[in-house]
Parts: sequence; C-alpha cells; structure tokens
Amino acid sequence: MPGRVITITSGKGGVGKTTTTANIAVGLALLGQRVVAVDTDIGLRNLDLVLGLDNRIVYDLVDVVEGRCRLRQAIVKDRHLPELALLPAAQTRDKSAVTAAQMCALCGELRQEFDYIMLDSPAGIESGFHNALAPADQVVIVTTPDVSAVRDADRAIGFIEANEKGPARLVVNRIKPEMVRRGEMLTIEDVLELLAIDLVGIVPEDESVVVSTNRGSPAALDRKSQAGQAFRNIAKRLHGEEVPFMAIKPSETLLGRLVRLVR
Amino acid sequence: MTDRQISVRGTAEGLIVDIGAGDWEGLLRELDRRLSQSASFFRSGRVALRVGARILNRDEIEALGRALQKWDVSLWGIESESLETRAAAASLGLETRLLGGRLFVLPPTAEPEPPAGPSGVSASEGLAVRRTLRSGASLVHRGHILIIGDVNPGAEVIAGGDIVVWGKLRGLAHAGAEGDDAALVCALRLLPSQLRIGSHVSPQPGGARPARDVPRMALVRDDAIVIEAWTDAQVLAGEPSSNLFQRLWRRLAGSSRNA
Repeated sequence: MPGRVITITSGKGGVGKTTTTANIAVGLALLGQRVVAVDTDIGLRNLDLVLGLDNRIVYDLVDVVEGRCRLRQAIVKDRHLPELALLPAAQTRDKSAVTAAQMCALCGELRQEFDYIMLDSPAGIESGFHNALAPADQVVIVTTPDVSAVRDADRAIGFIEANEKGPARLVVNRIKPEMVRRGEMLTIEDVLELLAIDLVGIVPEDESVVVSTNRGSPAALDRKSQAGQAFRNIAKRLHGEEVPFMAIKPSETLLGRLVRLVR
Repeated sequence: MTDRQISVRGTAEGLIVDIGAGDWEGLLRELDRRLSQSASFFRSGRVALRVGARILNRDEIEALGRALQKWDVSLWGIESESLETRAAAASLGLETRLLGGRLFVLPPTAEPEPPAGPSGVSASEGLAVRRTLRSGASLVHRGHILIIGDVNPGAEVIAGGDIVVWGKLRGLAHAGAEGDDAALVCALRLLPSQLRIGSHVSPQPGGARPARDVPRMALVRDDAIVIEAWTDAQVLAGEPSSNLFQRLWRRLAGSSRNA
C-alpha cells in the first residue's frame, strides 16, 4: 500500500510546525511505521536540527529535484530509530527552486518506500505553502491559542478547503493551563468554535520541548515529558487509533507550590 | 499530467478552457505556458474558463484577466459550480453561463438594473451562500447577501443591499455599499470587527459582547449605526429594502424562536 502524505502547516510562523512535524514523525516511527520527515521550508532549513540529524546531511531536496543525486542518497536515516528518516531542505536556495508538480512527483516516489511522509510546510500562504499542500492526503493545522495564530490558521484552512484538501485536522500547541484558567488565553473551545475542524491533539506548554528541540532529540522520545506524551497520542490518532485526550494539568514546580502556600 | 488538467476547445462563442482540479498556482503557470506556446492561435481571441467547484474571488478573477491580457486574449466568461465564483465573475461583468443552463445561474448583475424600490436593489438579486467565510475570504455582491454559516474575523462581506448571517458575524460587513443608508445587517450573533452601512462606519459597534447571545440587527438611525435585538416586529419597522427579504426574515426570525 502506498504511503500517506501528511502536511503540517499553520499560516502563522513560530507556532511550532517544525517541532510538531518532528515529534509526530517520531511518534509514528515508535509505532513501527516507516516515516520520512520532509523539510519543504527551502532556504530556512530547521527540521534537521530538531531531529538532531543536521551533521549528516549530504544532499537535499533540491538536489533530488534537480537530478544531482538519487532520492535514496539524500535521505538521512536516524541511527537510533531505524524507521525514521529525513529528507532535508536546501539551505542555500529559496522557495522558487521547487514547483508543486515536482513536490507531487517526489512524494509519489517516497510513497513507495515509506508508510508516512510528513511534510513540514513553510509559514505563510505563498508558493512554499502551496507546494507542501499539493501532494497532501491529510493536512494538519498547528495553532497556538493566540488570536493572531488562530486567524492565520483560519486563512490557511480556507486555502486548504479551496484546494479540496480538507477537512484539515487541528493541533493546538502550547496551551498554558494556568493562563486559560485565569481567562488570559483562548480556550480550546474558543479555538474550535472559530476554526470548526476536527481536533487531533492538544499539546501543553512544556519547557522540556525547548530543551529537547535545542538538543536535537524530540520530546516524543522522552517518556517523562507531558508534551512528548501529547505528540505520541497525536501520532496514534493520525494512525487511526482512538486515544482519549489527556487532562492537561499545570506542571507544578517547587517554587510555584511555595508561592501558592505563601498566598 | 498537466495536459489533462487544462483542455482547450472551440465553440461557436469562442474558446473554452477547462481547468481541472489541482494546485491553482500551478494550473495558472500551465495556462500561461500553453498560451505562450500557441500565442498566435490565441491572439486577439476571447476565452471563457470553466473552473469546476473552485471558489475564486474578484481579485483572483481580475488577476486571471490580466494574465490573459498579457497574451492579447480577453476573458469573457467564467463558469463554475460555485455560486460565489459566479457572483464574483458577474460583478466584474463576465458571463457566468457558458454552455447552456446546466447549472442554476444567478441573474446577471453586471449592469445595474433600474431601481426597484427605495434602496435601488431589485428583489431578484439575492445571493445565498451556505459556507463559513474564513479569514481572508471576501464576498462582494451587488444585491442582498444571505450567509448560512459564520463570517470569521478577517473575512469581509460587502453587499449593495442587506446582509443576513444565519450564524456568527465576526468579520467586516458593509451593507448598502453603493450608498444605501437604509440597508440592514442581521446576524444570529452580531459581533463584527467593523460594521459599515451605506456611508457610515462603526468600529466594533455595540462595544463588548452582549450579556445575552441574541440575534441582533444593525441599522442607521439618526445618522449613526445602532444595534438592536433582531425581532420580527423590528425588522418590519426597519423597512427592509425588498419584499422577498421581508418574507425571508419573517421565516428566519420565526424559526429562531422555535429553535
């Protein structure tokens, strides 16, 4: 059976597309699926860093498209997780180096080798976004509970629907339970009410994600990380499993507990 | 692959280009390539496009027209299964019925019709859209607009006549856009980011969210936009600009009470 192409996109930048792509890819690989994460953000390569594979890149996506190497030569396999691979973006070119048709052809080849092809889309709604959208079988929208991120997500969903790539599924990233409780942040319900698409995961704000991202070891590999658990659950849901949404508790620090006692 | 997505055929009325499903930008590039290859064939010709269910707004259609103009080809019509696309095309004066009456087609709205009432909007010019307008969407129509769905923040609805939203209106709405101060904006949840009626503009009218989520109606009274609860009696008092919409309102307001 040919593999499925899942495009991760957001509209707004900085909401955690790349982190989400890396972690869902790890989650699917942990389920024993053959996964390739593809960085389509040509010119602003990131996914390799988050996956900790940056120092092993020889060829990239543009080299494949322009015929300078075979597809297999450009794919970087993860040493610890043999099911996981990366197709990196070119760092020295820009979005115009690849067309939507080329992305579709490339994904057609990858479908033969992998169960899941995870496309990390660039931010924005320009050509790079459309290139990442063109081959998608499923689109996952990442947003944070901020008014601006939600509005941009709404715009992206409009494009996805217009291109008949819907219905997209939603990941709400970086929920801060404390702020939601105080009414300072949009709630999941607020976000869902506006975007009106199926929710596939809620990821709590978790400092361990920042640490693991910088270290190049995705949080989904960390059994103790709350966000890691959330990402593994998203992978299971995308794979077709029914997983209940976990209750998001504020992670209580010692200092926080002391402050509360003093109050 | 690309050949099947764009096909050109000749008819008595001129060339018709079928644009299939797929990435719109890519298809436009392909169309441009085809025109460049056979520039002499198309030169000074007129072309109509069939775009399937695709939703194109005025800007996109205008861009298409400019792209064709580059090759000395004029765009005369757009056929689409999407009402919105047809409305946008019609508002640019393009034909929307190319190949017989297979589809339900809006009455042409390119030429302003003689005034049919105090507002100058004829009753036959309603556009009904059953869809949520997401951020960035723009719906422009010379007549009345009825939306069954929401208008999200960042979307805009501009009507020559009245605007009725059977859902939440949180984007921008401009009723009576051609200067009709008697136009109305009604919504089940009227929380627009900005409201315009005729020549009046009101940022965040009605201030904060009302205590009760009741259907509300905006109209111009004493030279200012005011918002009131949307009830049957008030709609009638507000003298809506056409009988058709009066009936529609009565029905909608009635069913909201039953719900």
